[in-house]
Amino acid sequence: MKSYKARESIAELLEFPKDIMLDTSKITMIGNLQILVENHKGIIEYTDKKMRINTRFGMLEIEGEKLHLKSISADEITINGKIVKLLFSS
Amino acid sequence: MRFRKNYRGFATVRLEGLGLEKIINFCVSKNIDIWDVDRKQYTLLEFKINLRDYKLLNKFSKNHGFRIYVIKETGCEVWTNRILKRKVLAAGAFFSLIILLYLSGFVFRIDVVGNDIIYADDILTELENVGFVIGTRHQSVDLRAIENHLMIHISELAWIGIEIKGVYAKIKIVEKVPSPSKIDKNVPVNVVALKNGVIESVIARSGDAVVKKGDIVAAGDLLISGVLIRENMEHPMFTHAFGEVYARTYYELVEIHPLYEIVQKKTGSKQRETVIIIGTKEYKIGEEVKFNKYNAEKNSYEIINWRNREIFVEVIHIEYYEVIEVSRRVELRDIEETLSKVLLEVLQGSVLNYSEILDTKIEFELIENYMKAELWAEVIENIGTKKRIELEEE
Repeated sequence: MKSYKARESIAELLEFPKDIMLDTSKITMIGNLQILVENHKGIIEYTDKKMRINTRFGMLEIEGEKLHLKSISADEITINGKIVKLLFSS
Repeated sequence: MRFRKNYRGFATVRLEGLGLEKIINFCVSKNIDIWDVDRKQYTLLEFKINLRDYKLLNKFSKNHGFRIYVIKETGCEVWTNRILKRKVLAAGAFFSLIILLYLSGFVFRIDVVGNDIIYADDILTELENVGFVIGTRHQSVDLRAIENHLMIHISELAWIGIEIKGVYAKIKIVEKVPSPSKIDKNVPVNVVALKNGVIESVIARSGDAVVKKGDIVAAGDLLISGVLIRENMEHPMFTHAFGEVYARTYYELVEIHPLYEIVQKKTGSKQRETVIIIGTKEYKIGEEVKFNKYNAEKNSYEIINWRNREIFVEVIHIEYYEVIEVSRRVELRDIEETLSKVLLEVLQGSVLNYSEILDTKIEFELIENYMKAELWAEVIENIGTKKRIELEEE
C-alpha cells in the first residue's frame, strides 16, 4: 500500500500517466454507448443486462440494456449498448 | 486489423454449457482474440474467432464439458481452400482467364468514323487487301504502314489514323475538301453582273469595259467583254476578260417577331422511370407518364465497361417534370435587338466577300401581335463574275 501511494505521488509529481505508473485499469466511455476497459483481468459475469469485469482495483460492474461484448483481447474489452450504471467494488 | 481477420479467415462459433465466462477468460489468458460476443441465452454464447485459434479453443472446451461447433467460416483462406478442393472449377476459371486474355489480343470490331463521301465499305475492303480484318492479331500489324497504304490508294483521303483499344479498332479519317472549279486562263470569258446595281468603278485588267460609272446594271448584264473588236482587225479576238467592277447594291430585308412567347414552367410534380437496355431489348420499370406536357431528364449508366469493351447493358433513369405553357410578353427593346441582330446577320450572309456596307437603316412597326422590322442597306460590292463565251455569241 505504501509503495502504491509512493508511486501515485511520483506520477503526480512527474505528470506521468497514472494507469501506467500504478498498473491500474483505464476506462474510456463514449457517451453511454460504448465503454472500453484497458488492462483488465477477465470477465466474471456476462449477460445482456449486467456485466462484471475483474480489474486490478477490484470489480467493475456495468449495468445497462442490450449490452454486447464487441471485442475482447488480453489487454482490452469493448462493450457496446446502452450503459445505465457503473459500479466499483473492491 | 479487419483486413487481417478477413484474409486469414474467421469462424462464427456457438458454445453451449454452464459458466461460459470461463471460456472468455481462457481466451484472454491465452491471448486469443474474440469479437462480436453475443450471449444468446444463459447457456448459449456466439462469437467470432480466428480460424488458427479455433483448434486450441476446441480442445479446451471439450475438456471442460462444453459443446462447441462452428456455424460459419469466412475469409480469403477459407475461400482459397474451398476453391482448391474443387480442382476442375479452379482449372476452368484459370483457362477461361487465359482464353480471355489471349482473345483480347485480336481485333473484333472495326469502325470507320469521319467519312462523308467515302464509303466505309471501300475503306474496309482496302484494309482487307492489306490483311487488316476482324480476327487480326494486334501485334502482327504495322498500323503506320496500313495508314500509308490507305493514303496512297484512296485519293479522297486527307488524313487517316488507326487506333486500337482492346478488341476495338477505330479508323478515323478526314476527307479532302474539293477545291472550287476554276476556269482556265486560256478559255475566253466575259465578266457579267451577279446582282443588280449602280456601277461605281470599273477596273478592266483584261478585255473591254462596256459599262461606266453611274450605269444601272441588272444581274447577268455584260460588264467587261472578252470579245475584242478593233477597226483594223478582220476578225474579233477572244480573250480571258477579268477585272473588278464595283457597284452600289441595295438590299431590302424584312423580318417579323411575335410579341408573346411561350415559356414552359415546371409545376413541381415529377415522375421517375427506369429503362434497362440489354443488347437490343428495352425493359421499362415504372408507370406510364401521366403528364400532358413534360420535360425529361435522362441519366444513363453503362454497367459494364471493361477495357473499353462495351457489353451492352445500359440503365437509364428518366425523370419527367410536368410543365405548363405560359404566354409571356417580351420587352419591345429585346425584340428590336433580336430583329436587328437577325437582319444584320442575313445581310452579312447575302453580300459578297470583301464588300463594304455603306449605310443601313432599320424601321420597326407593330402589326397585331407581331413586330415587323425592315432593313435597307447600301453596299459596295464587286459584282463581276466570269462567264464562258458560248459559241453562239461568236
